[in-house]
Order: sequence, then structure tokens, then C-alpha cells
Amino acid sequence: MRKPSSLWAATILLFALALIAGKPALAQDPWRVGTWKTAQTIQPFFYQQFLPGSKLEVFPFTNPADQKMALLAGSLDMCGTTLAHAIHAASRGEPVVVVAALCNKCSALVVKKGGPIQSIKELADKKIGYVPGTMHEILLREALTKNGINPNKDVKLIRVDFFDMGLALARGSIDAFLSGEPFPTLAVLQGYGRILAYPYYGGGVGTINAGMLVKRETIEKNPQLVADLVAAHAASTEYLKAHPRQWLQRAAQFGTPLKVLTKAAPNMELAWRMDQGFVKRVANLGARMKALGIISQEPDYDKLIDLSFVNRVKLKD
Amino acid sequence: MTNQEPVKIQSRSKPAAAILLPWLLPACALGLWALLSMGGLVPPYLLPPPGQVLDTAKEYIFAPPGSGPYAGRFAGDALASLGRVGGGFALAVALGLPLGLISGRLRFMRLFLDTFINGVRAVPGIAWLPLALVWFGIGFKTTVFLVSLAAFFPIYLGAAAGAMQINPLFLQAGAMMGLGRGQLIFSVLIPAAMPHVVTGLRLGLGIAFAYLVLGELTGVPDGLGAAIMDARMLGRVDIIIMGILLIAIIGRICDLAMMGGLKLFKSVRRL
Amino acid sequence: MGRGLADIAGAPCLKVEGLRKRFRVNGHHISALEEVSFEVRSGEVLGILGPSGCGKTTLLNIIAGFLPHDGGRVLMNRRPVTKPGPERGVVFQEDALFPWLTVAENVGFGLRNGDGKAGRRIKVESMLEMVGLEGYGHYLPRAISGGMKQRVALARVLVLRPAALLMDEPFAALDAQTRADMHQLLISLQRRLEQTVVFVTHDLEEAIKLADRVLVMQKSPGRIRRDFAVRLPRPRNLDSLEFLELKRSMYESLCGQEAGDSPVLGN
Repeated sequence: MRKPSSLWAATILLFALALIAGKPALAQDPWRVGTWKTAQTIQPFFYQQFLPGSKLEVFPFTNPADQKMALLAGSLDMCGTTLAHAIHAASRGEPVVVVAALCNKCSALVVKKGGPIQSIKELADKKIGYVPGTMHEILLREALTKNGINPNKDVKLIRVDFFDMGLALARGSIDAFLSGEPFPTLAVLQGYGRILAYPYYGGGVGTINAGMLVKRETIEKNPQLVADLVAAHAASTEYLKAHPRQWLQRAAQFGTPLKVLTKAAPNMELAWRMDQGFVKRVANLGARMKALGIISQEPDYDKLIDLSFVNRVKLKD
Repeated sequence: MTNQEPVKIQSRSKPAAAILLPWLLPACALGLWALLSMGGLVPPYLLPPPGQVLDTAKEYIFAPPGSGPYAGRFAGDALASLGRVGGGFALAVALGLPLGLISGRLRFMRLFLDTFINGVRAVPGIAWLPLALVWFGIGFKTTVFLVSLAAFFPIYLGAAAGAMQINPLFLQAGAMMGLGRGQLIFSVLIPAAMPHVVTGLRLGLGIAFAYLVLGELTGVPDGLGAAIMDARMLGRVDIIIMGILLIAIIGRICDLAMMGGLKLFKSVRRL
Repeated sequence: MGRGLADIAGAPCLKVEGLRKRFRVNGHHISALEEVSFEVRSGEVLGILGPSGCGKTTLLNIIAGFLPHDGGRVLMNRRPVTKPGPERGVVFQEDALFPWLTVAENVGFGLRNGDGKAGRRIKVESMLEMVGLEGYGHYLPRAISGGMKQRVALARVLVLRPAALLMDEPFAALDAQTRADMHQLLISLQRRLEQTVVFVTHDLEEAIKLADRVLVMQKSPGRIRRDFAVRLPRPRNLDSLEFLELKRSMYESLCGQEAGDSPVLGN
């Protein structure tokens, strides 16, 4: 029976090849980093010049969940995340670790220009666009609650993708939205929006926003990789802070006009440093998320945030 | 006229295989799933075990609303989604069926409509979403637009094919027996075209459900597609899987219901 | 109570006068029918015989009202024919029964306007019995044989009591035995109902067997070459000398190739 046995051999060979091809890439292959294509999350696009001798690929995403999924599935070595998303993931037992900050601030609460709303209190009974499960949702709920408005009862929260919020506001389908730059500044410059407030609260949560995430497994198996990436991240951040024009010009290549980015720049703070104060603020954020019913239990913040890598960079400074 | 149903020449008894075979593949898929997740081959945050998805489903469907972020939302979501699918599908039928039948019978109409319709058909629905948002804003109208746009084409093509392939003798026979124009259309044309029309309707309904998820991506407060999209943002794979399974089940039920309704027509029941 | 040999009673019910039909093929005109004239009397069975391409089917379609004509007149009971109608019932060559309707529903299809439900049922049932399909009312067309389908085709037209029954090679697709049965049926129905029949055929024997008169047509252009009266006693004996002689004459007429052959009417 010659023919059937060679058919079996071919099948087994094909299967084996598929298995091998499907294996996640080893660290010698190009390093893969995920991030958003925005000015405030731009650092990974500059890592390469600080990583001579290694090849790096940057993958753009439009939300933190997709890139974290890619990270967990083994398609990325490191990715960006909002701290709210990192807390959410850790609270569900996902083995993720924050190894550096990414940016602070960057959010704004926007209403219709020429409209009647002059303070957050006046948002009662209004329609507000939001994206469930995001950092901005939490900031919105915080802003409303602190002004005596119950986000579940006193306002109408409407699901709108971030990209669609500007249009919805301009058409009057929503009365307000809270989102990240450049959308608030874009709304102002396109003439239909007005910034009502910057939702940062000194003390508790502060201006923390986003960070860089790796799998715990990567730290255990390949700490040098993480150290190198964090070092490149810190170097990129410092470089861009020192050369703001180059920063914004590169960001403008993503499609947002330079004029908008320049106006939004004061609300965007690139970052990499983390310290105990940072950890405390993340813990406060987690406590707020638990109080809002977004997570059922708080994660271990000391396990979620690993300061060792940024500390090593500090020493080199 | 006699009311009894026609004699069936071949009677078919259902052997055990006919009853069990359709469930073989789903059972295998379920088994593979359980093996991969519970056997630890795939971590739970990438592939939650069937048990977890079942628990999530129980909470989604039965728990009192408010006791959790997804608790008890099923009734509201399902109703909202069915409303949008129903609206979009109805619109697609109202436009696609008559246009298809006319274009199948009148060469002039076919020439007039074909290039445009086939051009529009080539554009995938997801490309229409941003434009729909600009034209209709967020909300019900956009979803209905996308659903009806997607469902229109199979319905139109099915009706056109059905009308075109009619044995011309049928229409001659009808006219010869004294039928007027309107009677010819309803008593001969439509029944003769029915098998193709039904295929088009079933395809259209299936596509309508597919585009429901697209249409609920943004701008609607509830719905099964919205629940799946939100779950994506939250990284809740269990909700995504549950949502997909629920849509599959509901879609199948709707298909069966539609077939049941269509079987009221002799031309569907007997052919 | 058969028909007398000498005379077929009845006033003319169908008149065709100087009928002309042209088709446009690839830019130029082809004359399909030229100066076709004949009469059919009430109760008469007329056969139209001719080679393929002679326009006999076109002629029938014009009488049925499916095709317009380009000259001459077609009158049914003195009224011009413009469109199809139940007074000129048609039995087609191929299966034109509605597949989604039962035999009984097919037969009763033309009865929908007028009569109550009960009245319709009675008519349908009596018609089914007349064509020998008693008890088959609940069957779908796909469950019955070709011969039975043509019986249904006859029934659905005859139930409307047409002034003329038009048939376009109705038995050509059947096997010899079934065809013979159908000939029997048609003859008996025709006598019982005194039905006027015009049928098209390419089968000589069938023409002589069924018809009272046979028009032999020629082609290019389509004309009537000769009008034969079939003065043979019924039931027709296929082996009789007269039958064979008539068959031979008709065959000669059919095959006659002389150009400019003017049609000879009468026998």
C-alpha cells in the first residue's frame, strides 16, 4: 500500500510545518510593539534609533483591548494600555505587567460651542457620548459623580465610538463627550465644540492616563528584552520632550493637522517615569473603579506595576 | 376547490442518522473547545471554558438587571437587535422584491438598473458605515440603512433570477385562461418565481444578521452586536463567544420562522 | 349518433382572411405567412399539417392571440382576435401545468372568476372524470405521467367551454401507446362536447385519424397548399384503402416541391 502511506507522511509533514509556523516568534526575531497612532502614544515609533543592532516593528491599534489581546496571544512583545484597562485586566487574573508610563493628562470634556452648558452640573438630563470600559468612561463618571450627578440615572449615556463623537456632537445627537486628544481640540478648531473642563483631580488619581504593558512571562523568561525596550522608551520620551517640533511633525503624519496638535500639546504630556506615588494613584483609580462597579475585586498593584525597569533607567541617567 | 393537501408519492421515514447527523459537527466543536480550554492548552483569557461562557450566558439572560454590568440585558438587547434586523430586512424586501421581479421580466428595467445595482453591490458594507454616520447620524437609522443595504442584493437577485427563468408558457397559459395583468403577476409570476425568491430571502436574512453587528458598532445604546463590541473593548472573550452563539441561535430561529411563514404559500410548500 | 359523412354542421366560428406575418431576422424581413385564408365551422375538427418551418405554429399562435399579425384578419365568432382568452383555449406541446398546484387546482384555475366554491368543485370533478383522471385531483403534476399531464392540460381548457380548442402538436412528446389513448380521448371528448378543434401536427396519420379537414401547408413563404376533406367514417380504420389513399395524396402534397404551386382548395 504505497500511495496511502505517502499521503499520511505528507499530511503529518504539513501539520508539523503549520505548528512550527504558528509558534509565537522568538526574541531574536523583530521585536514587536503595539501602540495607538496618536501624538501622546507616539514613542514606540522612535524606539528603533535607540535600539541599534535590533530590529523593531510597530503595530498600530485603535483601542487598548485589541493590543492587549495581541500581547496575550503572543503577537506582540509590548503594547500600550490605559491604566484603567490594565487594572481591569489584572483584576480578571490576566498576567500583565505595567513596566513604564506612556502619557499623562490628554483628556477633555467637550460640549457644543454656543450651547447653554456652562458647568458640569448642567449636564444633568443631557445625552453624553462614551465608550464603555475605557479610561475616559471612568473619568466621565468621576466628573459627574463629583458634581452630584448620578451617571446611571441623571444623564443619558450613549455608546459612540471615539471617532464618531465629533460628528455626533456637531449634529446634536449628543450634548457632550469626554475623550482623548486630538478629538477635543479638533472639535474646538472645527468650530462646533467647546472644552468644558479637564477632568483631572489633584490628590487622588491625578493626571495618570496610559502605560506600557508586557506579559509576566516575558519578564520571567527574557528580562533583558524588557529592560532594553523600557530604556528605549525612556530615551524616546526624553528626546521628544526636548524636540517638540519634531514630535508634533511626526504626529501630524498620522493625519491630524499640525495646527490642531500644536493647540492640543499643552494637554498632552509624554511620560515614562513611575514611582511609588504613581503606584498610589493607580491604586486610587482601582478603588474608584471598584466603587463604580466596573471591577469586582482590586488587583495586587505591586504585582501589576513593576518599577524595577524604570528604576534601572533612572540610574543610567 | 378541494382543500386537502396533495398526495405525497414518496413517504420518508426518518432514520436515526438523519436526526443525529446534523448535531455531530457542533458536538465535535464543543468537545474540541472543552478540550483546549479545560485541558489548559489555551489560557482562559484567550479561550474561556464552556462552563464560564454558560455562566456568563445565564447571568446575561436571567439575572435581575442591575446586579452586574451585563446582568439581565439579554431581553432588551435581543428585542432591540430584532427590531433593527426586522426593520432593515423589511425595507430590503419592500424594495428588492418588486424591483427584482420587474427587472427579471422587463429588459428595459434590467438594463436600467443592473449596472448601478451591481456596482453598489461590489462595495462591502463596512465601507458604507462612515458614510451612513454622516448621512443618518448615530442610532437606529444608520443600523437599518446598513442592514437593508446588505439584505437588498440577495433578495433582488433572487427575485430577478426567479422572474427570468419562468417558463414563458406559464404566462401564456394564464393569459389564455382569461387572467388579467394583475392576476397574472400574483397568481402565476410570483408563485413560479418563488423557489428563487425564497433562496434570496433566506440569504438576505442571514446577511442582515451579519450586518447587524456592524450596524451596532457605534451609536446605539443596546443590542447583541453592541454587547459583543463592548465586550471586545473590555477584553471579555466569554461575552464575545456568548454573543456570537446567541446571534447564531436567534438567527436560525428567525430563519425557521420565516420559512414557516413562507410555507403558507402553496408554491413554497409543495415545490 | 355520429356525424354524417355528407356535411359537418355548424356556422363558421373561426375565420382567417389573407393573413400575413413577417419576422425581422438580422435586419431583413422574412415572410412567415403569406395570404393564409380558411374557415373553421362550429363543431369541426381542423388539422394543420406541414413540414417544420412552414409557419403552422406561428399560425396557431396568431389565432390564439399570442402573436400579432401584419396583415389580413382573424375573426372568432365575428370578433377580431387581439389577445389571448378562454374562448380560444390552448393545449401546448410541452408541460405548461403550474407545478405548485394540484391537478384539481390546475383544472379549476381558469374558473376563479365567477361561480361559487361549490360550483367550481362540481365542474372540476366532472371534468376530471371526463378525461379519465377521477381520483387524481390531489396529485401534483410532478407525480403523474406525461400522458396524464396532457389530460390535465385538456381538462383545464375544456372546463372553460372554449369556442375553439387550439392544440400545438399536443401528443408529439408521448409514446405511441399513450398517444393512441389520447387520440381516443380527444375524439370522444370532441363528440361529446361538439367541440371545435384546430390542431397542428406533423404526423400524417394523426391528422387523418382525428380531423374532419386537413390543411397542408408549404413553407417559404408559409401558405396553404391544399385543403383535404377527410370523408372517412368514424372510428377511422388505419388499414382501410381509403385511409391509405388519402394518406398517399397528402404525402405527395406535403412533399410537392414545384415552385409557384398555387393552392388548390377542395379535394
